[in-house]
Parts: sequence; structure tokens; C-alpha cells
Amino acid sequence: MNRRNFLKSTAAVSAGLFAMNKLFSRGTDYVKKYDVPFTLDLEILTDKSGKVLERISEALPKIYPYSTRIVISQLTGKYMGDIVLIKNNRLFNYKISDDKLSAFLRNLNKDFGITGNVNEPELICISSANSSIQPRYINVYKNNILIDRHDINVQKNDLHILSDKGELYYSINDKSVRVEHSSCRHKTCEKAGAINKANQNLICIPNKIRISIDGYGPEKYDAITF
Amino acid sequence: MVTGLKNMMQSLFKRYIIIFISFLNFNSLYTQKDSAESPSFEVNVNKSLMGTEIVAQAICKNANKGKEALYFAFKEIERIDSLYSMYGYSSIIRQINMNSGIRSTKVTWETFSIIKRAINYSKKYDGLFDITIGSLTDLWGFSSDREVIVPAQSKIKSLLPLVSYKNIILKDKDTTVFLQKKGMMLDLGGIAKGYAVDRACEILRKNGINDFMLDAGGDLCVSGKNSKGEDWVIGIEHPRKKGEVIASFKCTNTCVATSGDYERFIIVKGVRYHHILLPSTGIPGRLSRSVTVIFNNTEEGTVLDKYIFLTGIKKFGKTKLAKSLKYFVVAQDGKITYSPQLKKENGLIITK
Repeated sequence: MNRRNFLKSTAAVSAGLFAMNKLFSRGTDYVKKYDVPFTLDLEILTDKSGKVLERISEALPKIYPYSTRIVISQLTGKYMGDIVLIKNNRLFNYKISDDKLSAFLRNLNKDFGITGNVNEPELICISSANSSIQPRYINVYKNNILIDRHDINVQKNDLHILSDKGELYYSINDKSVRVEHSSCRHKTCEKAGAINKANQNLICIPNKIRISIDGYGPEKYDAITF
Repeated sequence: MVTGLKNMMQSLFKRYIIIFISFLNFNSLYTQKDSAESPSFEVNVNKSLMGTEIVAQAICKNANKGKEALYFAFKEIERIDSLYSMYGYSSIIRQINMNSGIRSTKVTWETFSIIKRAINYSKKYDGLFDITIGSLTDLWGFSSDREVIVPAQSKIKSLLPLVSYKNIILKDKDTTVFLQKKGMMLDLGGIAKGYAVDRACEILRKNGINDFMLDAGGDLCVSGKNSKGEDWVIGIEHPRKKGEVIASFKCTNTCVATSGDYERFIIVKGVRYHHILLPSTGIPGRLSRSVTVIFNNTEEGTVLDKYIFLTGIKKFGKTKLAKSLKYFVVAQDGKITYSPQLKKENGLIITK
């Protein structure tokens, strides 16, 4: 091999590696932002939010290596702690599933005793979706099936859903939705108050009812000054 | 012998070049893989404080660290709110107001400093910002929970002598505040929210959070990058179309403050009465619909937007300050005026 051929082949190898590198990096970036294997919504109601968030920071990125949005709300009063997993817009029973995320949640529950009585808890909502998109519709699911859809701008009171185990009443006012009454024992959905942002959920596990706000976007703004 | 050595050197050179190039590429591959493996958390906490919804967002690798930093920041806002609200039971402002015309009130250095700065703003901005406006805002009801009413002109006139920052007596020696005239009332609403945002941002930075946004009802501070790794995109609300944005721009490591006639107002017989009062007349300013200012601190930013709101863009546009400040103004006739820097440096887009 003469010097010219050598330089040519070296340049070709280098360019190849460089292109592969760029392709790979773009690929991960692309996947990271848009092509998540499943959409994730995780709601944890706990009075040990510090420890839970430490564990999530440490373990969740290994199972779900995508950026997530966490909204923390402080609640007042007594609740029943809980973990709710929604994968691909469907309530998912982590207690009986054998995927890594479900196993992680079972361990989280076991280590911190989440599903017990809690006082003044915090609600940790973790979501892979962009919650800053414009809210548009209120979707109502029963047993993971969409049973009703309302425009967020309507004013409707005491809307009724009959479930297999009971019933639930909800109202839509001022671009927000709240559960007015649920026949379930825990009343977590009732106490959660009104929700008004895209991808927020009101969930009644005993009745297997989920009311979620759907949106359209992407939202152009991080904040609005007024 | 010489040829053999030359060949050997060439061969070594080729080998090391290939190894070196491969190392460079694989090293960068490794680095990218590593960054992809540690995604960020966007931690959000909202609370109702200072008469508005405060939204705080931190971008961090450790969600608990982000949450704790945000909680510390909110704690600071709560503290400032309880100290400087007009009517709060534990408010030092309430105490100073109760002692007006009677005796001086001993205050902390922090309170003394904020009142001193407020007086300096009054001097700097032609008296259009004045914290002694309390008796008038109380009369209108804009700073309280009660219903806003349009007061009788005679009542407004009777209170005007109580509005002048020149009647605040500060004594550096023992940090006391004295309102010279009985019935005088301080209202720090125009400055305390900005101060609270600045203090909360300091706390976030001290706790190692550099990528964040703190939005106190439209007066906000942004730092670093958003969750997409980009500059923050801020929309300006349309003053006459609720929920719509009139313009937007990108920014980082800065503060944004807006004052408008469309947030706290009543319309009586077709006339809009809002909360930005002219200290000299006691009635709402009529020259602007909204003013947005981008400034290096929220406290002075919130003062500046009110100053421009009351001065009006025609007069303000001729000042020296207008040349250096980034602003976006919607005048009372709906005409939009903005500083060229806002377009050039922040990519202002008018959406209307």
C-alpha cells in the first residue's frame, strides 16, 4: 500500500466511523425524544416522597431511559397510599405483570409500604408525555375502554358513570374536571380535586374508571407572561 | 538498513493513526451513550401564594434534589408573602400601616432595605411607582379579597394627600420606618412579588439547580435550558383575547415581568377600571393595555413595567432608558411597539 492509498483508506475508515457515530447519536436523540417504546404515566400517592423520588432517580432511568416530567402536589387530609401505572394510555396492573417496570414498582411498594393509610401525602405524577400541550378533550375510560369524550370548554354537572362495582359522578366547569362523588371506599379521585392540564388523570381504581385530559400540541411556550 | 527503518516507522505511523482515530470515535460514542443513559427529570411544583398561582420547574438528574430545592424556594416565597402582604396577620407592613402618624416601627434590615429600594425606585421612575399608594388600592379593593368598586371621586381626592413616598421616614441607625401622616398605608404588592421571585431563584441556584423556571403569575425568572435543552420560550398574553398569545420570544438567565389592564379589572358603564393606579390621581392609567419588560432582576422589572404602563409608550420611547431596555408594549389603541433588541436577540414573533 502506498502512502496515497493508505491516506485514502484511513480517511474512508475515519469518515465511516464518524458518520456511524453521528447517526448513532442522532438516533438515540431521536428515540429519546419521540420514539419511546411505550408512553408512561405513573402516579404515586405517598407520604415518603423524598425516599420514593430518590429511588426513582436512581432506578427509573435504567428501566425507562427517557426524560420524564414529574409534577408533585401536596395534598391535605387522610388518604390511602397507592401506585397507579398507565402504559400506552391503559391502566396496567403492575402487581401481576412480569416486566421490569412492574417489578420495580412492586419493590417500591414493598420497601416503602406505599399502599397503606397516609396523612398529608404528596401525589407524584411521572409522565413521558408532554404535559404542556393545550388541553382540549376530556376522555372517560371504563375498563380501559373509551366510553365518553367532552370538549374541555363545556359546562356540565353531575355526569354519571355506572361501573361494575358502583358509580361515579363528575363535573366539567371552567376548563377543568373534578369527581363530585364516587361509590368507592378510598375517595382518592374525589379528594384529588379539579384537574385542568393535558395528560392529567383522575383515577378510581375500584371502579376501574379513568378521566383524563387529552390535548393537542406541541405547546409552543414554556410559560405565558401576563 | 535505512530503508528498513523507514518502512518500520511508516508501518508504526499507519497503525497508530488508525488506533488514534478509532479511539477518538469510540470515545465519543461512549460519551454519547453515557449521556443518553442518564435522562433528566423535569420536576414541577405549583402553589397558590401572593394572590396568584406560582409555578416552579427544575430540570435535574435527581428528582428528589429538584423537589427539595423547589420546596425551599416556595418556603422563601411563603415567608416573604406573610411579611409583606397588606392585610396578613403577621405582616410587618400591616404593623407599619397601623402605626402611621403615631409612632415609628422597628423593622428588620431586610424590610428596611426593601422599603429603601422602593423609595429609590419612586425617585428613579418619576414617582409613578409609589408604595404609599396603599390607601387608594385599599379603597378600590384591588389588593383585598373583597369586591372591587369604583369609589366616589371625592373619596379618592380625600386620600391623595396620603400618597407620597416623601412622607416615609427611614432611620438607618435603628432601622425604623415611620409614615408621617395618619391613615397612610404602604402597599408592597408592586415590588414584593418580584423580590420573592429573585430570592427563590437565589435559593434554587444555591441548591445546585441551574436549569429552572419560576413563574409567579406572569412575573418570571428563567435560568439555563428547558427540558428540551433549549432556551425558554415565553408567550405574552393577548390583553384583549383571554387565553391567546400576542407574541413570543426566547430567553435564558433573565427575568420577565408584565403589567396589564386585563387581569384585575371591572367594567362599569363600558369603562375599564384596573389595578394599575396613577399615584397622582388615584385612578387607573389609560395609556397602555400591557407592558412586558425583560430585565436582569424581577424586582425592578415589575417596577419598570408599571412605570412604562403609566408613562405611555409615546413618552417612554423618547427616553434614554428605552434605547437599552427590552420591552413589548401594547398601547391603549392596540398598537404594538417593541425594542429592536427583543427581535434581534430574542427572536420575537408576533402572533396576534
